[in-house]
Formats: sequence, structure tokens, C-alpha cells
Amino acid sequence: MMKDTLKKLDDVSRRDFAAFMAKACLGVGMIPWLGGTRAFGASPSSAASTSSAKSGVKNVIYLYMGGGMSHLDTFDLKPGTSVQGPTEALKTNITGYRVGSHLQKMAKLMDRVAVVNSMRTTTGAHEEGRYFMRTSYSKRGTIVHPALGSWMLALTGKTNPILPGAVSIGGGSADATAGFLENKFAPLPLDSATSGLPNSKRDVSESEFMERLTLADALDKPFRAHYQQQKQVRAYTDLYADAITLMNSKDLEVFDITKENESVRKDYGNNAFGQGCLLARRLVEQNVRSVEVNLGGWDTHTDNFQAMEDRVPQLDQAMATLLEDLKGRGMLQNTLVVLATEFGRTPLINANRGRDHHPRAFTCLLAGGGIKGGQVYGKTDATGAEVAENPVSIPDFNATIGTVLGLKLDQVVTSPSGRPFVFADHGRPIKELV
Amino acid sequence: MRLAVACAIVGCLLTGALSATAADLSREALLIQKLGRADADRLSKPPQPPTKAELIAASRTIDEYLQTSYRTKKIAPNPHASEDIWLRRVYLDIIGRIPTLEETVRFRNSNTPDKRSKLIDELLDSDGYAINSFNYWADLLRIQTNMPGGVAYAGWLKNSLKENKPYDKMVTDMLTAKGFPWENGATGYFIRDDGMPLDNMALTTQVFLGTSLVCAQCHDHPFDKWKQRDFYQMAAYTYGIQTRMEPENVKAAKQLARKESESVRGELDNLTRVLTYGVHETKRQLNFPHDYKYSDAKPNDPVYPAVIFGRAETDGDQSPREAYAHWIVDRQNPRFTQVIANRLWKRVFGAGLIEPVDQMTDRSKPSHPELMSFLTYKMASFNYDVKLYLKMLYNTDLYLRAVTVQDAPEGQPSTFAGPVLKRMTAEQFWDSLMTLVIPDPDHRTGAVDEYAYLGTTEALREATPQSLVAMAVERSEYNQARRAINEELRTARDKKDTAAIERLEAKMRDLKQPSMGPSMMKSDKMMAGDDKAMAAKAAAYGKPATAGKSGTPAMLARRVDPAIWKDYPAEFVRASEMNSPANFSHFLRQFGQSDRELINNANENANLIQVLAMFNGPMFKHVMSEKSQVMQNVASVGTPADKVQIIFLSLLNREPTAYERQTMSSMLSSTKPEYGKLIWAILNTREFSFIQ
Repeated sequence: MMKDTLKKLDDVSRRDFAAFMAKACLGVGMIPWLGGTRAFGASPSSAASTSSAKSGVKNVIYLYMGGGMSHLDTFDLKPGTSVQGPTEALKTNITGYRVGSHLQKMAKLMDRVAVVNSMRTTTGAHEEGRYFMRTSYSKRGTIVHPALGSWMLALTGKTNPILPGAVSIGGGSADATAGFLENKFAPLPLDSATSGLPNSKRDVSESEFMERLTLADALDKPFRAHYQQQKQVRAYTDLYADAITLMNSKDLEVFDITKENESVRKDYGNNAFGQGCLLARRLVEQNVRSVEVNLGGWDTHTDNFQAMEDRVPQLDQAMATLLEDLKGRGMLQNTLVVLATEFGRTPLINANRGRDHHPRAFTCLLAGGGIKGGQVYGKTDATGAEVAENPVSIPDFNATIGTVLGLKLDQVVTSPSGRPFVFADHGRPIKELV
Repeated sequence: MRLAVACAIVGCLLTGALSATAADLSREALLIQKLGRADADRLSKPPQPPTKAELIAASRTIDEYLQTSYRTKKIAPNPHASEDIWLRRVYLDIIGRIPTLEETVRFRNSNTPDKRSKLIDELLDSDGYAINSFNYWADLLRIQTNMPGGVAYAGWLKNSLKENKPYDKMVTDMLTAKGFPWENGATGYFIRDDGMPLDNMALTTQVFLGTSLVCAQCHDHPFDKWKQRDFYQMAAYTYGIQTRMEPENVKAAKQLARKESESVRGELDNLTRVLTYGVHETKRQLNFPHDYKYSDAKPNDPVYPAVIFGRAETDGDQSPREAYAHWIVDRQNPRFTQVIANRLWKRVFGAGLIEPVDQMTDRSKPSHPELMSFLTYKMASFNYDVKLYLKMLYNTDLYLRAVTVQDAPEGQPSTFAGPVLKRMTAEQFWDSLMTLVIPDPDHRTGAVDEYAYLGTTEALREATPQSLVAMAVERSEYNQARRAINEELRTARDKKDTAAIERLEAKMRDLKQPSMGPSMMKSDKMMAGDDKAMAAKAAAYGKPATAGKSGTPAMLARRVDPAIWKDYPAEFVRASEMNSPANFSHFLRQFGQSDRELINNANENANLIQVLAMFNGPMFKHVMSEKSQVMQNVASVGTPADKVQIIFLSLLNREPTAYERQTMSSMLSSTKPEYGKLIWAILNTREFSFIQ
């Protein structure tokens, strides 16, 4: 029946038909089939996205160091003390401020970076720590809180109507949740930059594909109608529309980092994190609003210093190249770059030449748009064990990010269970940094 | 009776601070006893297994509890689901995949009066039950096969599930395990958290006692009553456990090699690392942290073990760890039994009577308190026989009901008007696709790594110290030679000297590889955190172990001629037969398989990647290949109507409806019906991927 109808249609009316199908059956409004342009899927508030963001900062690249990055071997050195171990100090372009010697490239770019050396958190467990850093809320069994990307989309909407508004690279599928927000605000999880967006090209003709889809849609109709009150079922409905739009869009190319010059790819570092940062740049260039790139391996209970030789240069090369590249393309002033981790490492070097979890003091960075670079905010004591000056809580840090990105810190979003939440859980932005 | 519940009942004089919970727990314990109409002595002895009639009677008791609750709360329970829906659900729930065409038809054609109950028995007794349960437990226990001893741990778990080892015994095995993984796979429980004994303790209480001590690891729990001191006292029981040890041949080899070069010694370390994990007890003393800030203990003071409620009694010859393990699994420990009873209830019906299942506090109350007590009692009286307990649940009237159409209001307890609608787990999704493609999916053992890993470790274990050193020397030389050639190659490539490049590449090919493969070599990229990955890589090389010799690999091997699978990709095995977790880009991970880093970390969230995988991914082609089970069945019948019937019975396990027949009418009357289109369409319906 459907097929007969389709057969009678010429190309142009087939487009109309597809739009009709989408509206009638997929229940998602118009699909810009075959390169149409109407935006959909963006949040109703997306008009507001030309926002109150400070100095026009639109997008964020969030670099997450999984496992707990040693502050003592990277951005909070204690040279000449027993806690330092073999890590050497390197001068930076901020007078009097030194970083770990594996940060060769970043050392020359510290004038663009605000270092927060007085981060302090309450939890020394990875799961809880990571959760707290990414959501500003303690992990509970009763609710899942959204992370930055989902908050951004919910509060200020998408900019590019075709591409996903938030992407997470190398973070694991568990990060691909919008928490209590609607699933459409969840970041798209990518395994790695090099594999791109898998299965995004159809291998049958447009008309064949559309016929398949039409049939699927017709067959699925009774089920969808029966379970229309189920969020999880509806989530797939939204995604079908997103997937179809994306597959027909030229924007899809953004996921293909082989389109980059070989030398650019090399500059970012021939490793998953470096290539992830490159993809992040490509994505924000197309106005994907939030891109998270993960670098794991910081849980250095054993052989901390050997691990630093491997991890830190990867971080150094990728982050420095990213900052340079963004600047070169005139994107740095409207892109915020964040470096975050769940906690620091102990000053005490353990019997396995490792450092253990240390939530009482650690380091995070902010750079790029809206950030007053070239400063080191906060201080730890002589051994890096305790915060000595200007302590910054995780909600404070995230509130600072929110301020830069124009997220209203007092805008209450109610979870489906009726509980009120705000971005950054009433943290107070650090005025000195923005 | 080692757990002194009596102590709680008489007022818990030992630890006054805990009295509130202790009173709660003792009430629970009393209720359990009352419900069981049994005294504590009878409870402490393993009871006789129930007859089928007694088991069904227990299912009816659950129905009665729920009926009463529907009446009191004025709730209309859901109608009963159709037989088709029930059939698909029970296969997915118990053995983790949709039924095959044959299984579907057999059930539909059966006229046996109690065919549902018989099918439940049959499925619980099948091998599919063990491998499906493996996925559940592997997620809960965070089993990673690429960690040291991980393969042995996974094998031990599979065996335990297959032989239906009582749950309390399974937990005891893990908590008291000693030795090397190849001697005892349960040692994986401690090796999993190598170097993190405090985390291990927090996770133990969360998994087995349903209470979260994670916060108390660093400070007094903000929402629960646990003090940091409580945590340390618990941790003191297991702090002496060490997870590194060396077999004799490795010790001797390292002694022999002490005058060798650093490179050789490094290679020896790398080569033998896989053998150096195991569990043994030491007298290591746990102290309070140097910055301990509460008045109930002093910083750096030694911690003496104490349990968080009740009391753990030691027999003279028991180590503290054994006393602690027995305290945890004691049938008088009210939390232990309740937690597993509640977890399995959730597994069957989609929501727990207590939620969240692993963060119980004093304020947690079951939504149906009497039912919870009954279930807890039954779990103990079944002697922790998980299959029996599940059988009781699957035979309830609740399990016959249709799933609830609306989402449960968030944060509200379930009324259990019916089971919860679920998207298939990643494993169920993959395994269902396997069912459509390969024959006898429950018996294809394919985990190449598993055999290879065991082969490698076995070879290394049996090697003499001299040959271990010789291997290390060989590796060191190989490594140096390779590095030298690579260096020359780089220069040649820079100069674009084609002749030299060819010569060097040939030289590289001719280089004699060390006896156990190059990937065990220390690579330049290798880093501290990658020991696990290294063990996994080592696994890719080596000889298959003799089945049964180490007790692990043959666990599910049935006498099946492997030739029946020769036409299908080697990686087409059930999820449980692959590495745990699967590679991030694998279908399983795209659909939310847990990374097995955190407890219960799987998710069924929708994402774009999944939709694209079903739209354009390779799986459709495999389903459509002429060798696939569904296509062979389609080919075996003549008329288009029959073929469509086969497709529906195979994919959705039901016949097409009148509406669907009408929708497909033009397709069916076409001269060249496109069955592929129909299969693609059904695979992309939500009906395929949701369990009603």
C-alpha cells in the first residue's frame, strides 16, 4: 500500500511525502529530507542561544583527565621538596610560575590559561569524584544529574540544527546520558576520533532506504502508540529523526578527521586524545556546543613518574596545539577550553613509587574565550597537601564555566520527579578568572 | 550461629551508637523468623529443597500479598499478557535471547496444560541460563577478562552459575579465596581491586550488604549513620590481603637473571607479570589516616577489626578474614539475604521492593514490607538456591501480566501492577541477533582470548627458570633488533630510498619472532596503567589449553560438532563468550554494555550511534546472508505468505496481525517480494528491541 503510493510520486513530491511520513508517523515534526534546511530537534529555547554569554563565548571543549591527574607533577610543582620526586620544574611565560618539565609546549602558552591550583573536593573515590566534577552534584542512587553539555543544550539550545549539540569522545557509554533531562540533550558518545561516526552512510539508494523506513514506521505504529507514555520509547523516536537528517546532511563530513591536513593531524599527536582534540576543534567549528575529550590513565598508584612520562606529553601536545589552532582560526575568543579531573594525587610517594588519591587539593585549568589568562589562582601549602589560599569547590569551578558560557545559574530546572535543580548547584563564580 | 543477632535484640550493648539500625535490623530478623514459622536453629540448618508443589504454593503466596496490596492501594493490576508476549519475555529474561523459530513454534503448538511452568523449568536448567546470568553478575562484580586472573575469574563465575552454586557459597568462595587464579578463579574478587583494599571493602558492602560505605571511606557518611571509623574497622578485616605473589619458577628465574642487562630483566618482568597475581594473607596493619579528624580515634592509631552491625565471632582457627566472610553470609545477617532477594526480584520484574537496591539506609523501607520479608525468608529457606528462587518468581501471576504502559513516576515506589517495560540489554540485543544468524547459539564457545590466555599462563607456569630467562633474553634481543631496523627504516623513508626500504622491510619480516609472540614484548608505548592491557595482549598468542585441565575453559563445552558453525564469523558468539567488556566500538558497547568499571554500569539509553548501527550497520547483512538461520528458514517454505509468517515468528515470535498483513499486501502480491526490506523494517521497530 505504502509502496504503491511511493511509486506514483515523482522526486519532488516524494520529499513532501517523506516530510508527511515523518510528521504523521515518527511524530517528530518536519524532517528536512534530502537536504532541507528547517531546524528541528533544537530545544524550544534555542532562540535564546544568541545568549547572555560573556563576550560571545559560544562553545566549550572539555578535556577530562580520568583517574585523578597529579597536580604535583603537572601544574602545581613543589620543586626542591621531598614530595616532588623526579619531576623537574620548567619555566613558563608567567613570571615565577613553573610547570612539570613534560609540559614543554604548554609552558609557552600559559599566558592564555588560568590555572586553578586550589581545587578542593570531598570525595576520593573515582566514580563519585568524576560524577561530582561533571555534574556538580553528589552521586545518589535516586537520580542521575546531567553534565555540562546536557545543561547547555537544555538551557540555551543547539546552534547547528543538524549536528548533535553535544559530543563525548572516548568517555564510555555511561557518560552518554542526559541525566534527568530529556534524552535528546544527551551527548553523542564516540569511541574515538579516528573511527568517526560509525554507520552514518547508507549503502542503498535513497528511495530504497525511504521505502524501508516507511515500512518500519508503519509496522511500528501500534507499538509506539501503545507505549507513547514511555520516555525510553519516545527517545528512540526523536533519534530516528535526528539520524535521518544527519545522514542526508553535508555536515556529516565534520566527523571525518582525514579531511584534515596530515601535518595538522600530526601536530595534535598521533594518539587517541590528540586526534580527539582535533575532532573537537572541527566540531565546535561547526557550532557543536559542547565537546568532551577524555584522557584516562591518571590513576597512578604504581610508578607515577613513569606514567607521567607517557601521559603528560600527550596532554601537552594536544592541548597546546588545540589552543594554537583555535587562536589561528579566530575561534579562541568564542571557545572555552576546560581541563578537569576528579581529584589530585598524594604528596607522599608510596612504596610502589606511586601517588594515591588526594581530594583535598588539586588543579584544574580554564583557557580561551572569556577567561583572564596568564594567572595562577589559589595556592596550596608547601607540600601540595592542603589548600592554603582561595579554595575553590567544584560547584564554584563549574559556576565559573557556566558564567562564561552564559548559563543562568539561578534558572531552576525541575526533574520529572519534581525536584528543583540549577546548573552548578549554587556554586559561586570566581570573579577574578572571568 | 556466628552473627549475634541476639546481641541486637537485647539492645546491642557492644556498640551503642548503632542501636537505631540494630533495632531495625532485629525487627526484620524477627519478622523473617515469624514468617518462616521457624526458630533460629532450624533456619541455621540447610532445609530440604521444596517440591514443585511447594514452590508453586510459594508463588501463590506472593500473588496473595500483591492482591492484598492492590486492594488496599486501590490499584487495578495490568491484564495478563498474551502468550506470545510472555514467550518472548521469558526467553529473554531467563536465557537472554529471543526464542528460535523452532522454539517458538514448539511452544505455540504445545497443548500441555502447564506448558508455561514446564518451559520455565526447562530454561532455568539450560546452559543459556548460566551464560545469561553471567552478564548480570559480571556487571555487578565488574569482571574484566583483561585484568590479571580475569579469565579465570570469569570462568569460575560461569561454572558457579552453571552448577547453580548456592549464592552464600559463591560469596564465601570469593571472600575467602586464596592462591593463584589458575588454582582458584574466585581470587579474582580481590585481584580486581589490586592495590585498592579500601575500595574493595566499600564495594563489598555495597554489593553484598546493600549499603554504601564509599563516603565513609574519607569522612562520616553525610546521609547514613556510618562513621569513618566504622569503615576502617571493617576494612581492617581484609587489609592484610595481598594480591601479588610469585610462583617458584618466577622467583628462581629472577634470581638467575639478576646479573643480566636491565632490558633482559625488564622483559622477564613483563613476560612473567601475568603469573604474579594471587591472593594471600599477611599481617599488614591498617592505621587510621594521618589526618583523621574525629574524636573517636586518633590519627595513625592501629585499627582493630569490627563489623558494622551485629558481631563477627571467630572460631579459634579462623583468620579474621574468614570470620568476616562468615559474618557477611550468615543466614542470620538480615541484610545479606534481603539484598539478594531484592536484587533478583528487580531482575525479574524491573524494579526493586527497596530502591535503590544497594544504598539501603535506616530510612529505606520496602514498598511491600511483608512481601520483602517473605522473599527474604524464602531465599534463606531455599538454602540460597538462586534457580529455585527465580523459579518461584517466574511462576507468579505478576509475571503473567502485561508490562505497565506508563513510566513509573520517578522516585515513587512501584505498585507492581505489572512488570516494567525494558529495552533489551546490550547483551540481549546482540544475543538475539546471534539467534537469527548462527545455529545453536548457546553452545558456540568462541572466546579465543580465553583459551590463549590460559595456554600462555600454563606454558609459563610449566617453564623452568632457565627457559624463562632464555625467553627474556630472546625477547630482549628481538626487541633491540627490531628497534635498530626501525631506526634505519625511518632514515630510509626520510630519504625516500625505496631499495633500502624494501631491504629493511624484508629484514623485518625475516626476523625470528620470540617464542611467545611479539605482543608480549615491552613496547615503547607501554605505560604503567597498561599492565592489564598487556596481559590481554599476551593472551592473543599461545596454544589452546587442554579443555578441563585448568578447570576453566571447558565450562560450557557440550559435545557439539564445531563444524556446524564453520560458515559463520568466528566473533559471532554470545556476549558472555567474548572479552568482558567488549571493545568500546563493538555493537555491545554501542548499545550500553557496562565497561565493568563500576557496579551495575550498563545502561539502556537511546543514542544516535545505535540508530545508525541498525539503519546502516553490518548486522543487517549478516541476518540477510543465505546461511543465516532466518534466511534458511525463509527459503525452506514456498509461498510469500508462509515466508512472511516465518519472518514474524523468527523476529517478533508472533504471527503478523491483520493490520500488518494489510500494510504488506502490495509487497506480498508483488512478483518479487522483498523480504529483506521486511526484515530490515522489523529489526528497526521498537517492538523488536523492547521486552514487553
